[in-house]
Amino acid sequence: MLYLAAVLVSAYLLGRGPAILASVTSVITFDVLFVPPRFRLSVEDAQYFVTFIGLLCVGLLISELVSQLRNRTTAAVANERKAIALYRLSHDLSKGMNIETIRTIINQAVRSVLRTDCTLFLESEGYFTQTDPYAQDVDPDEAARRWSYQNVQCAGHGMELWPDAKMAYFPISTGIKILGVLGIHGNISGGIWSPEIRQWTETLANQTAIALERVFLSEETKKMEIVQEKERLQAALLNSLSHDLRTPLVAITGTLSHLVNKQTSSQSSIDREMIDNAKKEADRLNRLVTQWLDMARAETGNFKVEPTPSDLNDLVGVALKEAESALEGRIVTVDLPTNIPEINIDFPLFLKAFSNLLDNAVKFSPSGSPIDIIAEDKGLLVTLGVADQGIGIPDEQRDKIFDKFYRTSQSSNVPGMGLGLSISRAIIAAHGGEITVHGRPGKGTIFRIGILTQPASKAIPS
Amino acid sequence: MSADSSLRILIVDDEPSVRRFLKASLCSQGYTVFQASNGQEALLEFSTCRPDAVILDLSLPDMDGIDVTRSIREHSGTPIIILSVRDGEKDKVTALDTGADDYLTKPFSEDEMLARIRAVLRRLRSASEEPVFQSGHLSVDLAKREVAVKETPANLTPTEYDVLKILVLNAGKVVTRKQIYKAIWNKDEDCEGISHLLRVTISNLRTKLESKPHIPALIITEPGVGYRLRTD
Repeated sequence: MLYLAAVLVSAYLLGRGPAILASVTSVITFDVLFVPPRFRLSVEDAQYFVTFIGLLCVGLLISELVSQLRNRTTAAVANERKAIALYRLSHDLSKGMNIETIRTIINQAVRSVLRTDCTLFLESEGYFTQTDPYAQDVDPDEAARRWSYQNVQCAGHGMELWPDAKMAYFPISTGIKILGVLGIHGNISGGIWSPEIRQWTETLANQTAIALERVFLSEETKKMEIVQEKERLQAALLNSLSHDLRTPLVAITGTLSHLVNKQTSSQSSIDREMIDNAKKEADRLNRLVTQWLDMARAETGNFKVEPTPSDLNDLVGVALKEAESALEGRIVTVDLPTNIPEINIDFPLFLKAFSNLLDNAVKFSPSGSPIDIIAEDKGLLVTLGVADQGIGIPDEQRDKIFDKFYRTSQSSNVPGMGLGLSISRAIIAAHGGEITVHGRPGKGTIFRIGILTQPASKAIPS
Repeated sequence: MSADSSLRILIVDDEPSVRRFLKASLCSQGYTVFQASNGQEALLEFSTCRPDAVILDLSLPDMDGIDVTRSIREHSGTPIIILSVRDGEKDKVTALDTGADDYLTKPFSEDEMLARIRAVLRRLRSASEEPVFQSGHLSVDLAKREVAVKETPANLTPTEYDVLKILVLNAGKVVTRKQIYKAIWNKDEDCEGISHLLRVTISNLRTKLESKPHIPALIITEPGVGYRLRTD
């Protein structure tokens, strides 16, 4: 029975072929050494043939079983190696904070298991951007890569599609989004894409997708944080500017208003005139500061529109009340349809935009001339216009008047910086509306704000 | 010397120039003035000098004016008038809903400031002293539930009367929309269209009470904040 041990050992250590050889050799050795006539192959007793066949069968069976066991062990070891590689990979990837680190980690994993190199082709790096579906690709690698990307399946070297490509391509997909493809260079260990190896590489590609997605998301978050930080700084700067510019004005305006109130006999009429003048100029300075700050807000996108349903009658009323002294001696006609729908606006900001139009009407028309305020309900749109009978705007300058610091040729004797209209336009634009300017038959100008009514209050019947 | 001579006012502002102006102006009206330049100092000064009213800047170097308001409101109902910059509507509303009584937008005139102080101090001496409110042509008798314009009785709906009553009880002082929702509909926020109802009510009140309803001079809208009933 000793020879069976030889079969067992050779099958385990060397595999199926040597084991078969060992069983045949053992049978012959047994025949030559122990079966009479000794030292010859011939056999005297026919019953020994049965023994030989029996022994040979057992030997072959053992060699088959043991070699299968051996193969399984080898496969298990290989699987374990692959599993360890994947485990290490996911561990390493969880720390990989940028694309370059991910590249290195993936390449290490591919090297340890497939004994070759790999390349990442990422959509974010400009591959696949100019994909023309009808292009006849000359380069099989290019074609396989695109096909793999578009169909989210593997292709290329050693696969069913484009087997003549230099690399095998595996899609890097999160399941929702495809980020690119993983190209495995040819000459992989073992030479062929067995189902296990293929499965392993697919898993690797999936792990890569998850890691990349995480990196992209964190980059996105960082970018957003930078933008937010920038906006926060701008807002803080504007606030501190606003505070610093207005603080002296608080004391100046307050003090002057105190002196205006105190009409004592110690003040001569000249004193009073001077105080009144200083007060007026302080008020003007305050308006200029307000306009500058509004402009800065508009330019940095710091107009935060918080719309609430509002009543146009109320808005016009507040604007007229604020402008009461400027409007003295004028006939102001207010034509607002009853039941005009409420509009969704940021009341204080919208008021600012409208007041600027009203101020302009006052500034650019002769004192005592009438001003009309006209609102119209046009269904989905509400317009609010201010019409004056003033100097008007030459046709060729109408496009430019909303530009910052632009002043028409006839307005040189009217104080102002040319900011009001551009601020109004920025505010109305932030509301999704627009301001238009029209000439008026006869003379004068109409500025008209158009804004959509609340979708809820004006639902279109289906 | 005015009748207010014994009244004490605490000024809280980090800007010495603003404090100087406020102090001079208030002293000339006979008020006794105390000062603080930051939040901590304000709270300390408040507990030691027991002022009748506080003028509080919202932006203080050490703490937010809203927090100072909250701290004061924890144990005292002393009127607080906050100072705020333009475009700070949100802060104003927060401060008012936290318990501040009124606000002034910088820069402000002396008249405005004194009117605000008088309004908050008047409210302190309770409405019972003056059962009939008068402003311009409007007179409101809260005891009899009677409203008249130029001696002609005005016919108000119950909601209109309720809104007017709140404004009268706070005459001269700003009332936020939230305060009205709370008082009339017992709601904290705008819901079930009560903001629309309030706007319609205000508009109707103006039509019935104002001489020129399209340029309201009696029920004033404070943009982004609320309403104020003007006093003479």
